[in-house]
Amino acid sequence: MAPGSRVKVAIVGCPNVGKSVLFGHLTGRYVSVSNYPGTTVEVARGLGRWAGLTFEVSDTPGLYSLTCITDEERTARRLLTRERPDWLIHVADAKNLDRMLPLTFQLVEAGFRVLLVVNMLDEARSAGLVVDTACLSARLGLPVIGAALTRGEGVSEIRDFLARPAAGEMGVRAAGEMRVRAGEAKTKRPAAAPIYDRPTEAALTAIAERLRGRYAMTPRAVALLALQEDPETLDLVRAEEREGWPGIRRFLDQANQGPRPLRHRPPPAAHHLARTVAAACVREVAKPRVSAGQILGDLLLRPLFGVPVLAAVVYFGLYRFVGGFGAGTLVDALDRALFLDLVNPWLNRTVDILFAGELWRELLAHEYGLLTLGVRYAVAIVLPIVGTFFVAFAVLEDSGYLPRLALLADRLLKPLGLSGRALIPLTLGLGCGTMATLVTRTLETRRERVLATFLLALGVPCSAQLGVTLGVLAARPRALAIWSLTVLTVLVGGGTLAARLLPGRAAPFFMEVPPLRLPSFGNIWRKTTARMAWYFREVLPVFLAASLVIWLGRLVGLFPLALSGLATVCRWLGLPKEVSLVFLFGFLRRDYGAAGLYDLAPSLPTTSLVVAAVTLTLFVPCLAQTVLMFKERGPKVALAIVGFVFPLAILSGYVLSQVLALTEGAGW
Amino acid sequence: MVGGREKSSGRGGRGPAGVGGPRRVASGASTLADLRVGQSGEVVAVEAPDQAGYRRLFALGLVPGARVTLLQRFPTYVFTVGRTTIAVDAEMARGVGVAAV
Repeated sequence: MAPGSRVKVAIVGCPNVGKSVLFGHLTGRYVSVSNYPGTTVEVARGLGRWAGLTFEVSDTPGLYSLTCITDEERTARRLLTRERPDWLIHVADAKNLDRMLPLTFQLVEAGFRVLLVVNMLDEARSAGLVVDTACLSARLGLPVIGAALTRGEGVSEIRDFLARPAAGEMGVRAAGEMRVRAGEAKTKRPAAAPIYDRPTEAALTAIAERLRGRYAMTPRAVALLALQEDPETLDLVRAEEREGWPGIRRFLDQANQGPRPLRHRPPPAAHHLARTVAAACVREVAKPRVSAGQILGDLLLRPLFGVPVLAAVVYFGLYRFVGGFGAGTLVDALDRALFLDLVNPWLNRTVDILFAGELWRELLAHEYGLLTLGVRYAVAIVLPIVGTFFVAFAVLEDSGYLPRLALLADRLLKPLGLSGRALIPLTLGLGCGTMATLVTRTLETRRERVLATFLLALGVPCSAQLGVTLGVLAARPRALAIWSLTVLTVLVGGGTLAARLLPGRAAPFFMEVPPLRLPSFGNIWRKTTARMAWYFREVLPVFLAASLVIWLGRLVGLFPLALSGLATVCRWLGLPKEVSLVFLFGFLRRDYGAAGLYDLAPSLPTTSLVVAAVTLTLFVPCLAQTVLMFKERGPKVALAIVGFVFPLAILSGYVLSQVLALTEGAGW
Repeated sequence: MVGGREKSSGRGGRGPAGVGGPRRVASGASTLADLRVGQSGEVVAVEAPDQAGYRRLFALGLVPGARVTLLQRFPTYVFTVGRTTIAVDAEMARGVGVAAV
C-alpha cells in the first residue's frame, strides 16, 4: 500500500464485547468500556500509527444485526455503508460465538472485508472452553485472531495483520464470493455465509436481479435486508429504483404473504450455521466453575434479595455519595470557597476594568454573566454532582449490576409506558435533569424517549433542587410528607396519563444479563474522565446559552412581563406576589428558585410553603434542560411537553391549595 | 431447518398488540412463559407484534432450534440461551414458542 495513505478501520460488534477496549489499544485514546445505555452512543474516532502506516479507526455503537432496531444500530450501519472502511474488525465474545457469528455472516454477505477477533478468551477459559481460531478461520474463510483485550492479548497480532501489505491490497469482492485471504493466507475459498432454503434463495436472486441502483452493499445483502422489511433499506431501494420500485414492492408483498413468510427464514438459518461452526470449533474441556460472583449475581435477580440491595445501593451510592458528598461537600468547596469568594469577585473586577459598557459587563460577569453564572454553574455546581454520579454509575455498570436493577424495576415502570431501561435516565435525573434528558437518547423507542423526557421535565427533582427543597421543608415534617406524596402522585398520575395519550405500544423489555464482575479502578477512572469530557462538550454550551438567554431577557425587558404573568398565577394559588420571582428563578435555575423559597420560607404559612414547593418542583424544568429538550426531542415535542407540564403544575398547586384550605378549615 | 413448526402470522390480524390478553404462539403449544423454573426447552416458533419485535427476538438468539432454560419468572422472565442470560418481560416471553425437552 502506498506510503502516506490511510487505512480506514471500523470496529463493529454487539454491546459489551470489548470494542472500545480495542479502540483504546489501537488509537491510544480511550472512550468507554461497555455499551450499556448511556455510554458509546456516539461514534468515537481516533488515529493510530504503526508500521509506518496511519490508521483511521472508528468505534461504532453496538450492533447486533444489520437489520437494525435501535438508533445506535442504525448509526453503526450508516457509518459502514457511507464510509466503506478498508477493514471491519468484528469483535466477538468467545463464550457466545453461536450468537455472534450471524453478524459476521451478514457483514460478509454485505461485501465488507472482515477480520474476526474472538475476544474474552480468558473468560472462555474459566468457563471451561477452548476456542480453535484456526478451525474458525478455515470454516469461515476469514482471518480470525484470538484475544483477551482487557489484558492486551492479541493486540499486536491485530496490528500486525492490519499493517501487512496484503491486507491493504485485497480487492472488493463480488456478491456472495469471498476473496479475502484467511489469517494464514493462501486459499480463496467461498465464505461460509449461510445458504437459505430454496424459496428464500430464489426470492433473493429475483430481488437482486431487479436492483439497478447504486448501493454500498452487495445486491444480495440489499435483497436480504429488503426481504426482511428493514425500513431504512426499503426507503433506500425506493429512492434508488424509482420506476422499478412498485414491482419490487409487489414481489416482497407476495414473498411475505401467508403463514410462513420468507422474511422470517434468514435469521434461523444463519443461527443454525453459526451453531454448527461454533460446535465444530469450540470445545468444552471442563465444567464451568460456579463462582461466588455468579451466586451473588443470581441472588440479585430475586426481588427478596435484590430489592433490599437496591435500596442500599440507592441510599449509599446515590443519596450519601452523590447527594451528600458530591452535591454537598464538593459543591460547597467549589462554589462557595472557590467561585463566590475568589473567582467571581476577581472576574467582576477584571471585566469592569476591561469593558466600559454596562451591557458587556452584565453579559460576561456579575449576577447572570456568561462567566460568573454560566461557567460557574457548569463547573462548580453541576460538575461535582455529575462527576460523583459518573463514578457511582461506572461502578454499577462495570460490576454488571445495572441490568439487574433495570430488571427489578421493569414491572413498576410498565404503567408509565416505560421499560426497566428507563430507570437509568430517571435515576440520573435525581442528579441533573439536563444530563438525564441527554441520556434518554439511549432508550429504544421514540415513544419511550418522549415519556422519559416528559417525566424528567415534570417532576423528577434534580439534586440541587432536591437539596434546597428538603432543607426548606425539613423543619416542617408534615409539609415534607405532603410535598413528597403530591409530587409522587402527580408523577405517577401524569406519567400514566401521558402514556395513555401518546399513541403507540408499551416499550418492550429485553436485556442481556452479564455476569457480575469486580470493577477495575483503571476502567472506572478512564470512563469517568471520558464522560466528564463529553459532559463539557455537550452540556457546557447549553449552560452558556442559558446565561445568554437570561442576559437577553433582561435586555429586552422580558422579565417584568413574565413576572406580571406569574404574579397572576400566584394570586390564583393563594400565594404572595413575591413567590412569582421564585418561580421565574426556578425556571432559570432550579436550585435558584428553591433558594429563593428558602429566603421566603419564614414569612410563609405552611400551606403556602407546601403549595409553592410543589408547584416549583412540578413547574417547567430549568432553562438548560428546556434548551436540551428542544435539541433532543425537537420543537414540536418539547413545546407539547412544556404545554402539558405547565398547566399540570399549576393545576396540581391549585388543587392542593384548595384541599389544604378545606382540611385546614375543618380543623386538620 | 427453518423452524419446522413455525407459525408466524403475517401482518396484523391480532388487534392492538401490546394490550389485551396474552398472545399465544399456537393453540396448545407452550411458550417460554409456560416453562417451569429450571425446565429447558427448544424454541420451535417465535411470534412478535411487529417486525421490530422479530428482529429483537432474533438478535437475542431466540430462533427456532435454540435451547433455552428458564431461571425465574418474577419480576421478569430470566432464562439462558446457550451461555447467555437474558431477561424479558411477560409479553416477549409469551411470544417464544418452546417444546419442553
